[in-house]
Amino acid sequence: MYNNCKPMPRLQDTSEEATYRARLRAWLSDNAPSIAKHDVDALKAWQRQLYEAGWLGLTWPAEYGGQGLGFRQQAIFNEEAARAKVPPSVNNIGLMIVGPALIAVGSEEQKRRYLKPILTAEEIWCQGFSEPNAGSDLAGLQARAVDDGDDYVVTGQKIWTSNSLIAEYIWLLARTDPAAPRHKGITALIVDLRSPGVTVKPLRQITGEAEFGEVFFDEVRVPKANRVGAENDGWIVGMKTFTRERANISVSLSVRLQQQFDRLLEGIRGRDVPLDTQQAREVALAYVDSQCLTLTCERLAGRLFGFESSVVKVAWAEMNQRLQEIGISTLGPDAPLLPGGGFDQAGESSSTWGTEALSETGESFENSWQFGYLRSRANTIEGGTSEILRTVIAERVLGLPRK
Amino acid sequence: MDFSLNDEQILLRDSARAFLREEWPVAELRRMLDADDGISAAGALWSKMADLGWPGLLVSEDNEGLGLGMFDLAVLMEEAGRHLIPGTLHASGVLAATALETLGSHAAQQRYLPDIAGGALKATVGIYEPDSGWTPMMLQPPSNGTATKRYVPDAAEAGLILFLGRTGGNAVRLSVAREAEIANLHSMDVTRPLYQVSCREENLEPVGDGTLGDLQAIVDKASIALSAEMAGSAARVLETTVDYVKSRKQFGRAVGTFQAVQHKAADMLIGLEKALTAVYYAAAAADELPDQLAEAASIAKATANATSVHASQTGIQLHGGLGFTWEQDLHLYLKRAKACEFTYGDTKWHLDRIAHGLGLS
Repeated sequence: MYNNCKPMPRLQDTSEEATYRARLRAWLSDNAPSIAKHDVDALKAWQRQLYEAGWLGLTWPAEYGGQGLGFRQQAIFNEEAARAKVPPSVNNIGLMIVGPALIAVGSEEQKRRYLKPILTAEEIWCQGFSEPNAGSDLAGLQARAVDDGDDYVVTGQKIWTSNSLIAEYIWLLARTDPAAPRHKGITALIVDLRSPGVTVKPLRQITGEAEFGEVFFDEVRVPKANRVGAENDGWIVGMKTFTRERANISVSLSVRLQQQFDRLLEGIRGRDVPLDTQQAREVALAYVDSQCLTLTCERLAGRLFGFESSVVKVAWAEMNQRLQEIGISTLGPDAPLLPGGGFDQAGESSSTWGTEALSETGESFENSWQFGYLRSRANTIEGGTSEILRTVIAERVLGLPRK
Repeated sequence: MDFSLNDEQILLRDSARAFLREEWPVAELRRMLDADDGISAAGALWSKMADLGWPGLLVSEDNEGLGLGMFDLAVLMEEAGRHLIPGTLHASGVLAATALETLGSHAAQQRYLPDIAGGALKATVGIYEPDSGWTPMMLQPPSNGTATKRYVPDAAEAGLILFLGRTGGNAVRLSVAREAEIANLHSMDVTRPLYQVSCREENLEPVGDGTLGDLQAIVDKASIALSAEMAGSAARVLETTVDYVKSRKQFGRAVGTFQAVQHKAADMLIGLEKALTAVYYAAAAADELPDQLAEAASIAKATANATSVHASQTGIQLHGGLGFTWEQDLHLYLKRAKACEFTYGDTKWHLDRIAHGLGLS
């Protein structure tokens, strides 16, 4: 518990880690591509290139295509990838959420079948947990999976499904026993989104983009071999997925936070008017907090797959929102003006991921503080709302009684 | 480089926690304060701490100390903070020991450090002045033949009072102040009394010279140690509060089941984890990465300020009316936190220093 915390900040690489970092940095500098933001094929090719060079699945077991390395190598990869401004992984849900969850709870056969194509981006994944009537109260989910011979027949709707528009598979929670207590009648399934009866629709968000989708299931047949864990054990699978999601989100995004902070400093240093004392203190405090958060991720590394991941997720989400608020405020009267043509162009912009993308501040909407500010409003909602997570921290980490 | 606690540090933490739980329960501290003995009654605690070598933890082995580092010290001071031990350990074993180790002449080190390490001599250091704030450049050479230092910790208890002051330009001097006049400033934290100390110039015996950079490095190390205490105090307040809201019942159920209470407790933990990270990062930087000391110390102090004040205020709030009573421990933690917040630089001072380091001002 918190009073038995072992401090573990890491300040510099061991010589072995430094060699690893140098090799990675050189490789990225030779290979980092410039890819149009929504060119899915090119993003898949880039992920495959990363995989073939041995830079993906770093902490995954070697027998499933991973590198069998430690958390530290993953952190180095995240740092160097952010530094090189490489495109984000097109299969991020597969890499950060589904893969680690499969390693934890999947059958041997499932691991052998699904893990490698996640790494190579041959199969893109999304996660089907939330429903219109089951968000924070996930145990109230209503999608049904009815036992029918060798199959389950799935009917229902999922929402807020990142990557569903480009995905081949969905990591699904559905109700198999409506008579059982809410947490006890849920089963985890792997569903091929190309199956008859599946419809995916884009869901436009406040940024104008459709990063998420809605997925409709109309009597979709799913082989029982695609069940993960035992029937009606899906809640536990879901919880294990969640803790991995929060840990991975926090660790990879704390690196992005540093990158955003550097961008903020660049912008401030380029201004004609210096910050006033109050503004300078706000920026300094954001620096203090983002440094603390990054180091806390490392210090708590060994505990991040438990409920402690919630501590880091809450802190990260609120930190990023604050940083985006500071960023947009540095623009002064231009703050509300959308660069790059505004909402109509969102999702179709010609901006690129690559070495130049993030330094062109203000050039495209998706690289702007305006976009970052609007997008950050989701940070305290996605992956567990901050309200739910504070309850998790209170009950599961501090041990306060439940109602 | 891996900074998880090694076996010796785990032993240090566990033995310190067990020792202080036995020897210095906060209830005993309250009893002494109420009995108007002041903390001078803590002499028994001091000699036991000296037996354990704590006042000499930072003192080099050449000077008969343990010769350990800032990371080890942080482990100990976190435990000290949980138990609100009197400020003498900080004043003598941290501040004075660091000042002498950093700036003291060989003769001065040999003369004073073995006694400081062994606990026979309690020392303190006056640095700040009535008009200096926390900024070393604002320190002034003695005027009218008198040097006056303010916010000097534990001066009344000390057998050795050192003055660390600016002699002009970038130069600083460490001196022994003899026949000093001492006035209690009545800090709200009675476990760590602060004094104003004045000394005639002719009674200042120089024992070492250095630069403003040396002075700030001494303060930064003391500040990291204080931040560790503050984090430890916050941890203890959180534990106490969690225990209380589990057992206190209103509306027929434990108040800890209410979301409004739960979320405040969760925020205490989030703050605590940040503070512990910042403290141990800074302590490790002090040991191994001197070029990061200044920034790391400011990160640690700014974070510890926020965490310890927030934790002690929230702890009182979640205890309800009971938390506001003299009979409960929480006000002692609040007063400690609030007094520490304004020691070695408040949050604004540290944020300004960081902003300056980032090129923002």
